[in-house]
Amino acid sequence: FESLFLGTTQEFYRLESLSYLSQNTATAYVEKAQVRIEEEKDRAKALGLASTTEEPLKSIVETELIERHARALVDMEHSGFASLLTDETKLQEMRCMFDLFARVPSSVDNLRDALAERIKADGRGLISDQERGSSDPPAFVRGVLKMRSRYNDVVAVAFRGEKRAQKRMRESFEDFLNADTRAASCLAVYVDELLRNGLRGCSEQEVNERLEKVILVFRYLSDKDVFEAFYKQHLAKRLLGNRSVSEEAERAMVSQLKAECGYQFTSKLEGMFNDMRISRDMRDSYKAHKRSEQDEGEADSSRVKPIDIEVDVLTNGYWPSQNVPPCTLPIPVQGAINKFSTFYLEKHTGRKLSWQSSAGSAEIRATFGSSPFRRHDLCVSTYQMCILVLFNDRNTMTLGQIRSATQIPDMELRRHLISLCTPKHKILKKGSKGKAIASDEDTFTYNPDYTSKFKRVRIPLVSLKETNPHKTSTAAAEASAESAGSSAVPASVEEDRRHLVEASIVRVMKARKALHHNDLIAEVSKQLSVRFVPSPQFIKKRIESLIEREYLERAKDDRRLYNYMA
Amino acid sequence: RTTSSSTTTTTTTQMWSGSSRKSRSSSSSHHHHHHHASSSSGNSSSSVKESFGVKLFDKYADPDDATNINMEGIVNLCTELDIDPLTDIRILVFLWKMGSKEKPQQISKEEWLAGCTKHKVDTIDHVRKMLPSLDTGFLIHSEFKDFFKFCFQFNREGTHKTLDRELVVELLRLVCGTGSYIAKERLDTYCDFLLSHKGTEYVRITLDQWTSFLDFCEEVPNLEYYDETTSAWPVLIDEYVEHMQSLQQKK
Repeated sequence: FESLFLGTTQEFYRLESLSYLSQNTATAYVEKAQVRIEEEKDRAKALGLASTTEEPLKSIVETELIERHARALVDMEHSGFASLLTDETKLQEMRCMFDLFARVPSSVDNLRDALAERIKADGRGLISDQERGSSDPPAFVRGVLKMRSRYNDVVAVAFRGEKRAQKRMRESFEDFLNADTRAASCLAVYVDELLRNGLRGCSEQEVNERLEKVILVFRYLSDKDVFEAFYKQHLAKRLLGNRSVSEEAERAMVSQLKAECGYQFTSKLEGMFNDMRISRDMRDSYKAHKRSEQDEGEADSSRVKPIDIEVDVLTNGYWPSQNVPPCTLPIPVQGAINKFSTFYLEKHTGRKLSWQSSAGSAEIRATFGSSPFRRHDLCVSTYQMCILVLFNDRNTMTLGQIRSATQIPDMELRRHLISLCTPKHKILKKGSKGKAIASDEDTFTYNPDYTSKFKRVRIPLVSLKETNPHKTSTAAAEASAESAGSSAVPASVEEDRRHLVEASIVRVMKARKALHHNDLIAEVSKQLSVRFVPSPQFIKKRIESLIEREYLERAKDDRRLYNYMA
Repeated sequence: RTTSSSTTTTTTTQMWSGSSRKSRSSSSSHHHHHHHASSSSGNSSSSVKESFGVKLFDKYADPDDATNINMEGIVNLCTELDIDPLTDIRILVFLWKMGSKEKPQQISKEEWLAGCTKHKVDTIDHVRKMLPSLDTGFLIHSEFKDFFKFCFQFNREGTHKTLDRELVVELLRLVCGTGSYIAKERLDTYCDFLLSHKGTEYVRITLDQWTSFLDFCEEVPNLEYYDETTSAWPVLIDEYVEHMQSLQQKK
């Protein structure tokens, strides 16, 4: 009787489930299925069926009602699990489906797959918005945070907080966030915005809360060193331009990074803060020094009032490297710099100062119009100062003349020049029509008609993209790509990675003396995982380089075994 | 005779070591020194009891450095033996057996004398008699591996640790042309790959890449099951396999 009974039951449910499914929503089906399962259970009890029959019966019912239609229930338009995922209000319906599927554990895979697909699709959408320029980097990060919060709810409610679903969610986020380095760059810009403006007036608690959210996204990144490089660049600009919303907020961010990644990750950053503090003290003592010089009657021989300079002295290894040779500074400025150098180097013999004219700023008093003259204090970059001072002697200059007089590198020269002839800040008038600079012969003329309602005017810099909309020189492409958030790993990070991998290989081999290829790759990857995820090929190239330099050798009888060479 | 050997010196040394300007210039001065050297050794031989091969050594020694036989001396030896160093692997086998190790493109007096003692070589005739045994076919596997490595090491220039890829290809054909260790198709395709590779990574070849290639040919005769993800072969070989696989797909 049993096999007949089971057979008929199976047939019955097969047909019923098919027909029900074709005529109803997935949600309704789920409800019906649960009912049917309960009914069968009760019936079996009421009929006093042997327990040996109960098991196969349960299995048949579940197979026919659930397993067979799992995919359909996920994919069904509008009411399938995949669709429900897009609707924030359908958490309960999703949970019902989860509960049903949980009776046949393997079918829950379908639900998790749907979750993963949805997250990755949403994520890719955020990224392509970024690419197309319809959203900006901070919006991307906000989007990711929102997604995270949303899917946390989905996993908590619909999946009842199931650990495997949690893992799947994390992996899906990691998947789309690490498709290229744009995510790291966007996050760095987001943080920059917070630390320049966003956290203004926030309490300490609010600051920590918002920075914690940053760390949540940061945790998903596999190329943490890329984020670090971008973050450091922004930090340098904030510190040097004194644009931080508060020192406490900056320190809070560093603390969070340290808690997440360890001391190694943040030691250079702390060095940057230290430099700023020491520079402040240095400035005070230089001021005192100058005052005492004046008192002693060692006044400047020229009748021109000495230029007031404020210097930040940065320790080379901590800050992002510039490697730009200094431009030709106006003579009084150069004089002031020389005086400071003398003062500093007397205190710190053996040190060398390299002046970073690409990173400085200046306040320059300009006179416009005719009597009564309009005087404005223009807040400009060092490069712009060098450019403007030239117009004290000449009314009009060509690009070529400006370049040779200032020795400013071409890309930057164009950018800083164009910033001085925008419609809003037309300090200079450009000869040629259009936005871009035509050629070396293009002229720039001092504009006496310039007006501004402010006495003190900040002249912002145009982006690098705008300076050369058509030129495709590699420097321009690199620079604009960097400011936009490129998909390539910055060269400095790439170089650091090579050193780090080699150091790791040597450390591991020194400790283990002999190690097989796969094990060495695994050890090194593990050691470096806090910062980035090197590909096995990348590590292998470094191994080869170390073999060539005789740090390692291959074992004679086993090519896959490496020996440490003391 | 001295004149003709000077010319031979120039061309063959060029083959073995990329630029041999140094050798060429010294060969003209060589012209005079050669006579001088042979006459002086002629005087000393009668007075002192010598170890095996001293006279032979002095005949081919570098006139500017009596502790070494350099490439010109080696080429002179080849001429004497009537073998062509450009196409005859046996001179390399000879030098390897004789124990040249310390520095590339030369054999020291110490090494030479030890080698002569070991192989009972005292005259040029002994060397001539050795020639047939210098076929690589007589080497057992471990010996061939060692010899193969020697071929790379011996051909380095001065303190350089790598060889030009063109030279590597020439050497490969010279050492492995017989096909007993490396299949002809493998050798040909690999050499083509090396020479036509764009980019700077393989313009010069390292010792590891050289020795690995031989092992690779032995251990992986069939490229079908090559797994790049766990491969411990040098990246050069990974790229060669990738190249071959993409050629295969195109067919």
